[in-house]
Amino acid sequence: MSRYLLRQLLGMIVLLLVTSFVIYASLFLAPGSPDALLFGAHTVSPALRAAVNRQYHLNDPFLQQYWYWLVNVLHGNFGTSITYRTPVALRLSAAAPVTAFLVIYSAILIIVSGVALGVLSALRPGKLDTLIMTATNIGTAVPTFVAGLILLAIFGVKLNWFPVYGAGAGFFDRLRHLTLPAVALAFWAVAYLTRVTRTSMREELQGDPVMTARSRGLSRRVVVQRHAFRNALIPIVTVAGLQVAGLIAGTVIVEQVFGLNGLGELLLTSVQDKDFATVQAVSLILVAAFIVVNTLVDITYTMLDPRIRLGANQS
Amino acid sequence: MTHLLEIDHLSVDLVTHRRYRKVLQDVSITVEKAEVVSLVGESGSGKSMTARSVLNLLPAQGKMSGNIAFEGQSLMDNTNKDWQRFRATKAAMIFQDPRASINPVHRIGDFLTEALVHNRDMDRHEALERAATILEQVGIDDAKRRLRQFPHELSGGMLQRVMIASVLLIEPQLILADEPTTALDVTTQADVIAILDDQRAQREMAMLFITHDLELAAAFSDRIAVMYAGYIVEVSTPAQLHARPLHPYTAALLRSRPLLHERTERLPQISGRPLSAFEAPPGCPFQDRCPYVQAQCSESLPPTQLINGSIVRCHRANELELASTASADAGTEGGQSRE
Repeated sequence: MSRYLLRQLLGMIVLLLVTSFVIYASLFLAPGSPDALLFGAHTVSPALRAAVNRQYHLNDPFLQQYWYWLVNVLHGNFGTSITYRTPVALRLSAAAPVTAFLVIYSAILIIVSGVALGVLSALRPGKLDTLIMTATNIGTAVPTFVAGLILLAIFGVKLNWFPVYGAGAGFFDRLRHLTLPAVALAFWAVAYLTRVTRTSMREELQGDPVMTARSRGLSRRVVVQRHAFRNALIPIVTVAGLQVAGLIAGTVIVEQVFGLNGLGELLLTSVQDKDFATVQAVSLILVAAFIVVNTLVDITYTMLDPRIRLGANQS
Repeated sequence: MTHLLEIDHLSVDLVTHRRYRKVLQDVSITVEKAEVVSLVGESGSGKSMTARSVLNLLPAQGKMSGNIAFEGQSLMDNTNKDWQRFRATKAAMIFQDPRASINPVHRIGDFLTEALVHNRDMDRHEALERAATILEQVGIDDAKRRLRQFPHELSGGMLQRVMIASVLLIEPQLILADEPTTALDVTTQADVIAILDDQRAQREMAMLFITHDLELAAAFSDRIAVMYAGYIVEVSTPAQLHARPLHPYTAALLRSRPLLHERTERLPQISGRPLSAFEAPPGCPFQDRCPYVQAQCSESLPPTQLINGSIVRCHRANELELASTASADAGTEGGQSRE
């Protein structure tokens, strides 16, 4: 078990290194260069240009530049924003909490309501099931930005229950400000997870282990919890993990719709400003979060399915 | 005299492709205390559904009619709670494929003790102690370690012993064994059957044993019921069944076995294909494949008759003289009739 964990963590670190390289290299290949951006249309003396190049290590070989960047990033130094002349880390520390709050809030909404609705739907065939399935049909068809605009129009503008702009300060104010964005972000994911949960539960309820449990005279509660739900969790965790990881990318859109100064918003403006250091830093953080979530899902599997643990020991 | 289990004119309908279809027709059979009754027949003949009906474990929307009584008490008006209590104390089932039926995510110890812990509020440690004792009785060494293992760490034969142990732990009066060795290697089949029968006999439990293996059924049952297309066509003792089968289907089944002491170029087969109950024509369900078919066979369903202590459902049971081996009637294609 611990060997399996170690292997997962090692794999995660290697993957993080590879992605950091890809992120760094892809910006290197992108059109425009830092010095062109800095000087714009101004003509500058070769001495000044050389000084700037030296300061940013722009003349060093590519791999060496990557190495400088990596070492700095590992020390928490993401460089200085070329456009704003402020440390990138400072801008990140302002934006990251908003996005993190939004993602966690939305993830909780997705997992709790998706699993609850799916289980309910599987256990109560008939009207309730039909109602939930109709709702999820609509839900899966609504893109996040449409859901966001509709929620804004109804609960923000018309009913005036929630603020339409900004991230708020302090926990409860932030909760209120981020409710509509989190719901918008969760919308189709809840619908999808509900369907997966329902299918998975249905399958387990008709499966052999449930039949065995029923034949032993176990109560419906024990059969549903210990056998049907427990076994259905494996596909549920897979899909939930993918969706939570997907939320990290989804925040880019929602932050635009709701005017939130999160990482997605920061990424978008930095790309427009050709702010290399910031784009690199934000991309790296988003990708790292994605990888960490996936690793957590993998580790959860081993707790859910003992057969995976054996596979790790044998190899 | 009350029987331990009495199935009386049981019919079962299941939904397939959105419509009800018959899978059991007018099935009547009894099992006495400590008795072993085998249900033998081809796939789809209704043997498993008969056993599942006893525990009310039919697939969704399945319908039962007729009567099932246990110790003289009808089970047909049971509430869900009554069924739970019945399954928890009176009758327990051994399933065909332990690899599929034992939940792969729980430890062997949890599988064995969950019924005791949840149904009888037994202390977990006490339940584990008891499980270890029974595991040793069914021939599993190192029981304490096995209890902590997961199903995938055990072989198929081991797992089926675990399944048997889980039934013994419930201490039911009736074991329903649904082809308990079909999924196992031939070499482990004999061991598993021997252990099952031995432990059952020690505890004086009755058993309804489902198999398609006539030899196996004959080896350790008190009576054998032969099923075809959802009907029971013959009920007899193993000795009598082999010496003088009364139903043409039973005789044909017996003749199509390979024999150890005789060389056969080609085993006799039963022409046509096995039918499900809902496909059976009016009249005798076996008429299309029967070498002795007459006009009356398609006109009416043969009633059950009692001949020399055996029960048979054939219009011509009294007049036919059937043989159980191919050589006995070689040359007279399909046996003789007295006419």
